[in-house]
Amino acid sequence: MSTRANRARAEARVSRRARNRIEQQRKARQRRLIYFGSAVAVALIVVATLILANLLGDDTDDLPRIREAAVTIDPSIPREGRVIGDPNAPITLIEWGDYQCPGCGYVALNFTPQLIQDYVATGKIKFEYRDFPFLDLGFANAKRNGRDLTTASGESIRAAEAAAEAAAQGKFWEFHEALFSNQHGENKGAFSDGRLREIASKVGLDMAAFDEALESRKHIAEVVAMYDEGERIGISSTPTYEINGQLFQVQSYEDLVQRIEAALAG
Amino acid sequence: MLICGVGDCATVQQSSYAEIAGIPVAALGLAMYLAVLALGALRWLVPTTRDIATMATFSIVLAGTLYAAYLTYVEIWVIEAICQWCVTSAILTLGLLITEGFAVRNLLREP
Repeated sequence: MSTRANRARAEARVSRRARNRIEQQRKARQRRLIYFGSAVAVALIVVATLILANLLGDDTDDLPRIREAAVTIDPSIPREGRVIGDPNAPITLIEWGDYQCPGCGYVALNFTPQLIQDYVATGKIKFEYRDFPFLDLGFANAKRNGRDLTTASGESIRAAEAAAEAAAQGKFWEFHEALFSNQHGENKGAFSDGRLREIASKVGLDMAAFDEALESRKHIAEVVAMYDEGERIGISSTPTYEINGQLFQVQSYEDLVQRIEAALAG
Repeated sequence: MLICGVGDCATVQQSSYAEIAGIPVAALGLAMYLAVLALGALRWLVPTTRDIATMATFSIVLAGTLYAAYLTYVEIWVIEAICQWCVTSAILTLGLLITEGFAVRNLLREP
C-alpha cells in the first residue's frame, strides 16, 4: 500500500517536472520568435531610415557661398574665346574637361596658372580648353533614349554653356577658374542655374546677355559639337590633354611639361 | 591625381549617395562588419548570449543586405556607374545573410 502510494507520488513528480520542462521549452521558443520578429522589424526600420535620410538629404545639403576664383589669369595675355596665347604659337595644347570633375578642378587650380605663366605668356604654346561634359550623364541619357543632344541638360552641360557665354564676352578664363573654385560634389546643385549666375556676376559678366544666353540655350550646339568631337577622338575620362592629335593624361605638372617640351623639340 | 571617368568608383564615391548626414556609406559598412565580428566573438565566448547575439547579427546583416540592394539599384539605374568595391561588399553581405539565415533557422527549429 505504502509502496504504491510512493510510486504514484514519484510519477506525479516526474510528470510535473516533464510538464515544467515542456513549459520552459515553449517559453524559450516563444522568446526566440519574439527576438526574430524584432530582428526583422529593426532591420526594416533601419533601412527605411537610411534610404529616407539619403533622399531627403539631397534637398537639404547646403552648398557653400560662392567664392572668388582661387587663381587669376593675367588679362594682358592675348586670348580668343576659349583659347589663350599667341595665335601664332607653334604648338596648341588642348585640355578636355568637365566642370564637375574634381581632377579637372585640381589641374585648373594647380597646373593651369603655372602652365600659362611658363608656356603661354612666353609665346611657346597656345592653350585651349574644350568641354567634354559627361559626368551629369545628360548627353549619354539623351543618346540612349534617342533624343536630340541639344535638348539634354545637367550641371556639367549647363556649366559648359555658361562658360561658352563667358568666352563670347571675353572672360572665359576668369569664369573657368571661378567655376573650378566653386566645385562642390557632383550633380547636387553646385552648378545650378542660380549658382552659375552668381559666379557669372562675381566674374563681372554682362548679366543681361548671360541670362539671355542660358535661357535661350544659345551655346548648346557648340557644347554638343565639342562633346561629339571628344567622343569621336576617344575621350573617356577627364582631364585629357591633346597635342597634335595625341591624347594623354598627366600625373603631375612635370608630366605635362615633359609632353610640351617633347612637342616643342619635335 | 584625380582622373574622372564614367564607371569609376570615383563617380559613385562623388555622388550624393556616398554619404548620409555627412557619414560616408563606406564607414557604415565598416561599422556593420565590425559589429558582426564583435557579436560573433560574444556568441562564442559567452554561450548564454547565443540566442540574442544570433538574432542581433541577423538583424544587422538583413539591414545591410537590404541597404546594399538599394545602393546597387542606385548604382545601376540612377548613377549609372558600377564600383567593384561596392559590389564586392554587397556580395559579402549577402553571404553573411545566408549564413546567419541558417543559424537563425536552426535556432527557431530547436525544441
